[in-house]
Amino acid sequence: MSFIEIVLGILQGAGVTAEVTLLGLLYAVPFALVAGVLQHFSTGTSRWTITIVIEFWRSTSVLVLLYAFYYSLPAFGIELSAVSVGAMVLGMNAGAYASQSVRAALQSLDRGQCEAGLALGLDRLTVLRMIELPQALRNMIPTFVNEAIQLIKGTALVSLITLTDMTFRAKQIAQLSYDPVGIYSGLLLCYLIICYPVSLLGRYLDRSAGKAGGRINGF
Amino acid sequence: MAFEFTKSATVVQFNEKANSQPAVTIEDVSKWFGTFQALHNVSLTVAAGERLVICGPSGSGKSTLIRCINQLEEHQEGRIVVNGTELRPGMKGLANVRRDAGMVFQQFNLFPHLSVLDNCTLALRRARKIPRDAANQIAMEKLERVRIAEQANKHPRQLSGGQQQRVAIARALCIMPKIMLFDEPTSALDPEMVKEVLDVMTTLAKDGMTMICVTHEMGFAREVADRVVFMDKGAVIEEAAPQKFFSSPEHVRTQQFLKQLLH
Ligand SMILES: Nc1ncnc2c1ncn2[C@@H]1O[C@H](COP(=O)(O)OP(=O)(O)O)[C@@H](O)[C@H]1O
Ligand SMILES: [Mg+2]
Repeated sequence: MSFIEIVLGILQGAGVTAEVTLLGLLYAVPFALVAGVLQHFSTGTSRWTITIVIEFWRSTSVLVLLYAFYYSLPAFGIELSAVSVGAMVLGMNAGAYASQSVRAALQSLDRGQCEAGLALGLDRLTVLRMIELPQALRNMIPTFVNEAIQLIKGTALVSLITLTDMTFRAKQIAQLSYDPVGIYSGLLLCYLIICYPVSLLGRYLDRSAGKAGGRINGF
Repeated sequence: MAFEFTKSATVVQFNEKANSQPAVTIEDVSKWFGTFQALHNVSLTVAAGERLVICGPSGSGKSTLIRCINQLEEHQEGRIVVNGTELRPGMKGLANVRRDAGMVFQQFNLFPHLSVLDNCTLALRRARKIPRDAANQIAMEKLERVRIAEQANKHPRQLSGGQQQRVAIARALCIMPKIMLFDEPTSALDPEMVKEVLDVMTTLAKDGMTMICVTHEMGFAREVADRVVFMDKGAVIEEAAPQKFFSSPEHVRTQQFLKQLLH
């Protein structure tokens, strides 16, 4: 098999990789925002609760969670497709990480911003929505893009729960022809092909946000 | 010149409003940060249309006091009544009461992600639910009043400190406050920009706005204030008309403070 053939063969799995990534983002982004904001605002028991939820998704091995959800949940009568399990586990894991930068970005805002909003007679929720989050999100673009790239790379693990993603394809091809160097450098190249544009997009978003918001920092 | 103008305007206002409620009543207010007592039984009344200047050494509780008036800080004891509404910690409708008082901060606190115009219209549109066009119109009027309308579409960071502070004043005016609170509005400014901000404040005073200004600009106090209050260690030590305050302060601490200011 030529290198080109190997790469094209691996890219047959790109659809699954993309599907798990995009579905994963549907878990990651809302979870990161909600968890980060709640952790920033809550105190006492509710803060403990949200922290425990975040830490569960952040500190448990993704591989173990994949196996646990995919192979053990059916024993409790819950059957989830491999794509659902992969997207949820990887998404919640990435979201839990990103939630910490949501919280940090909110906490690092100047207290005067919130005070100015309150002094204008805005309620706390409007201050969050119109003043704090827009500024915080801008500072978080680099983190979010990094998490998205982590998520793409993390999808390699779903090959272990029967999904035919790029990594699974590579292993299939490896069984047909013995060429570990060609196959795995081909796989590397494929992840690079997908991740690099995301990274470029992130840089572009960050720059245009910087232009609009007057923040000068890059990746 | 402006001095005389202000004084006579004030007299008229006092006569007119002799029977109306005070703009702000502070009675025996005490405030703690943890175990540290920042305000000790402070009492102060500000009549509608009156201009009050508060001064005192750093850490004397001036900011804390002025921030209690719109409940950015909660007081633990005593009463604060703003335009007839008593402020209580955690009260309902606090946002509405806050709209009666516009606040200008030492560090401007403009919203960096919004244009000058949007800084001014945010509260109008989100709190008062005024449509964009009408809100823009009100904002432009206020920006005109602080003589910075031509910068409406810029972002705050593109402006000088003095310009930013004038925008902050316009933003506070947009909510149609009955009282303006200034917390050292010129302390963060380069010296050459102080005057443009003080000029705007003086114009506001001439127009009859009720103002409470924490400031060490004694020229401004002389010219504009009806009363000067001196605070030290969380308490009001002395209050007097500016002429008396500057020429013959009663308390030793006031005398020392004024002496230091002159050096
Ligand atoms: N959030 C806070 N927590 C604890 N102490 C505070 C806080 N804000 C102010 N203080 C203390 O209260 C005192 C009065 O502060 P402040 O009102 O800012 O003084 P001023 O404005 O006159 O300089 C100071 O000793 C200050 O350290
Ligand atoms: Mg202060």
